[in-house]
Amino acid sequence: MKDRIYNILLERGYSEQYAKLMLNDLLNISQPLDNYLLDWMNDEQCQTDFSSNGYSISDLQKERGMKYPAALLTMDWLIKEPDNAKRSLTKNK
Amino acid sequence: MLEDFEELSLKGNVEQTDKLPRLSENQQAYLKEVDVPPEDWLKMTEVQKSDHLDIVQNRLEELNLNNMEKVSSTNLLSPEMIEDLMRRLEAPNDMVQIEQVSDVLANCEYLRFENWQHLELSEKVEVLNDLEHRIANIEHRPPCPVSAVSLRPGLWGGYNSETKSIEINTDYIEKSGRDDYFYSEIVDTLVHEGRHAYQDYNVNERIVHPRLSEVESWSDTMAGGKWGYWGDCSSEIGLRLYEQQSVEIDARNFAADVINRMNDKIVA
Repeated sequence: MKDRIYNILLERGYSEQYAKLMLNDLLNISQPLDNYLLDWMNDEQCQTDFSSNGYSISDLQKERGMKYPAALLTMDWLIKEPDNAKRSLTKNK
Repeated sequence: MLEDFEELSLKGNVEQTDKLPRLSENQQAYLKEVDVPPEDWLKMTEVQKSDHLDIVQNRLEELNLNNMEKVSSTNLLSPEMIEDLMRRLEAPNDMVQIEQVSDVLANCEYLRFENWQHLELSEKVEVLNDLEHRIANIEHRPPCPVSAVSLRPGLWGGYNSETKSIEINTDYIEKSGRDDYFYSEIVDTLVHEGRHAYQDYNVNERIVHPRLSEVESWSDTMAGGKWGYWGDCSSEIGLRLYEQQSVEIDARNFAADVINRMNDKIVA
């Protein structure tokens, strides 16, 4: 699984450094985001939306220009540490 | 046992003092050659001063003189020149910087909210530039121009390592005159981005930070570093990993400590 995620990230334009950096977080992503990640790995166009704590994956993509895996990881943070994530989203410096 | 230990440590100090370099007459003359009288020093441009300080620094290294107190006590170089030399050498440690920067902020009359709220946008930017000059002086780095720019919502500001400048969200500067939250965050942003300028200066120009290991850890998360992700890469890797960069953690903590101390001083 680890190698598969890594290789797909590379195929879809990520640098080796970013792919390595993201790997561990993507492997431990919360439910149901883990299934959305698998869907995206199978088909890049499949980008299921999800909302939590007042933010949605599609908003993160539209308003912050995030790639789908970046939006998934940010959503994962919102699920795991909502206060810290929300603070960061409103205080981006 | 304690007395024995004390005796040993005292003996050690004496030996260390004896090892401090003593300059021969020839060495003193060699150093004196590069002295510039204060009246001439003050007339020199920043570039001329910088070039000359390179020469002075080389001579000090040749003479194995790395103790600035010792250099100062020789009276071979003018105090003004030594002051500028010390500024380009080592910055105060973080605790001292936090105290000094918070003093500057707490003592700035224009920055008091009751005064700040009446300033025009251009006047606010002028105050921010003045504060940045003072903060840069404490941090032993060149000051960055601060400007108000249009940025997307949620983004307070940024340090541009290419242009060596600080940009702050115009919309939020305007709101800072009406809302205490925005006011506090603008001050935090100025200190936060100034800290990035300090990190950049240490990694890419000249090491003035007292802890080399910290400079190395900043270097890891800058362009060309081990991780090499500098700037707003949250669109690639997500916000949490972005915030975990050593440069971001350091800038966030430094700014938070400064703002806390500033608030303590204003309340007192």
